[in-house]
Amino acid sequence: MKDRENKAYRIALFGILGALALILSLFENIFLPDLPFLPAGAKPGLSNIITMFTASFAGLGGAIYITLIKAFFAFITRGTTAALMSLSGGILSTVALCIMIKYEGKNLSFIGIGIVCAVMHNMGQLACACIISGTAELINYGKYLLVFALVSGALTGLILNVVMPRLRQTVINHILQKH
Amino acid sequence: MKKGDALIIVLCAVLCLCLFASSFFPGKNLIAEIYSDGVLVAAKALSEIEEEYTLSVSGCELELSKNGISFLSSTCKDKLCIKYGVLSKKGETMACIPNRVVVSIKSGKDKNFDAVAY
Repeated sequence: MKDRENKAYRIALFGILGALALILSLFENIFLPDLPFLPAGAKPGLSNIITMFTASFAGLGGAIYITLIKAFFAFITRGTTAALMSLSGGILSTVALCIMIKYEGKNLSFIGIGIVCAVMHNMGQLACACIISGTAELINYGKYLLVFALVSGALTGLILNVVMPRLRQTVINHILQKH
Repeated sequence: MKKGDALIIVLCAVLCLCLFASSFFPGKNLIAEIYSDGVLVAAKALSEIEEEYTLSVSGCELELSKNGISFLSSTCKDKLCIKYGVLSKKGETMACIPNRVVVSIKSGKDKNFDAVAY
């Protein structure tokens, strides 16, 4: 009974996290592409907050699950190219995230992790764009993405630094360990 | 913010500076290159363009002028290529990924040639 309860709890929790990630991506897609000072196609990656949170208690599997949900959502709303871009960036950044999150603590906070994830995400997408278009020239665009990743990664990390201790108290300790 | 974060930020900033270093020097004899499906389909020296003209490459309309090259229209969904605007500086690259069209500005090193034919 206890196992079943725990399982139901996990399904519900992942449902909520998946939905949150989608809402954040949707929000970015609707409101942010028109900002003129952003490099074309660059987004702050707010939904990475959800991925980082998931990775911190569910590990690689859970975080990849959020990435897959996002890629599927991109596929049905924005087509194959968007889905491939989402998937390539998402998987690379999630793997980097799961490696780095082990070192989170005294010397490393979510700001550093966020920046590395944002950079990896953009590099993954750039590699994917090069492969799809068959043109290596696109690497030139990487420097703009790198600057942007520095800012957006720090931003998501900053948010997570604030939110994480509270979430840890409520979700991870309070509910997960009770079951 | 902790030690590790600062290290990562510094590393990224240094990498950015290195990557941007080449664009501090203004390029001469700029050439607009257009790739479709990874194949170079057109290359035109910007200084040789007298009147602006349009070029259509697999679903994208490109406008070439003295000042640079831009995407006018495209059959793709996101229109990121059009949003980017005019490419005019050395090293600038923009792509319409769904149509697999890439446009890039290069600086021609050799001043002696006056036309590029592919």
